[in-house]
Amino acid sequence: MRSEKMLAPNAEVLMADGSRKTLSEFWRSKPLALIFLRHFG
Amino acid sequence: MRRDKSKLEQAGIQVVLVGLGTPAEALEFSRQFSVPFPIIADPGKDLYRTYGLKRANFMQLASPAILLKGLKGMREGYLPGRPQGDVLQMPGTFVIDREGRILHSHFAQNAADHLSVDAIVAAIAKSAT
Repeated sequence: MRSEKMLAPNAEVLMADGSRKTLSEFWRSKPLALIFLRHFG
Repeated sequence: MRRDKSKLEQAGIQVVLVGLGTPAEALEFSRQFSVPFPIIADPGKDLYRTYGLKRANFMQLASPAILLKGLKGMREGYLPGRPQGDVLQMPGTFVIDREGRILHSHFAQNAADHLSVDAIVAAIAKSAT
């Protein structure tokens, strides 16, 4: 039996190159490891 | 993570990083550290809040274990740059399948706590069974 998994929050995001995407554009193409950093540098 | 890029690619996993700075700071970070992954700029911490990531307390940043890990990284050539953004913000990793389901959540317990590449790959592999 497959357990129910929580859905990832979708959001429009700002990329480093200034473009905008939605998170779902990433995971729909391939499984995604979304890694939140502490800070740059 | 940069060293394990091919392992992630072979497993069919894409990596996207999220950072606290502006797009310009993200680009500079990407250039300075040769980051091979796309970076989301989240200067307002909106995405951090949406995913439930919290700020650290002192011990989560400065315990002896963390300082030792930092020294080890420096010995391997990973020198700290000038931190940009909220230095108290704690990191985390979310492994998400193609239907948008969270397969694995990792909320870092301290500044040196990161989900391994093997754990990321395993989360995807487990979902396929």
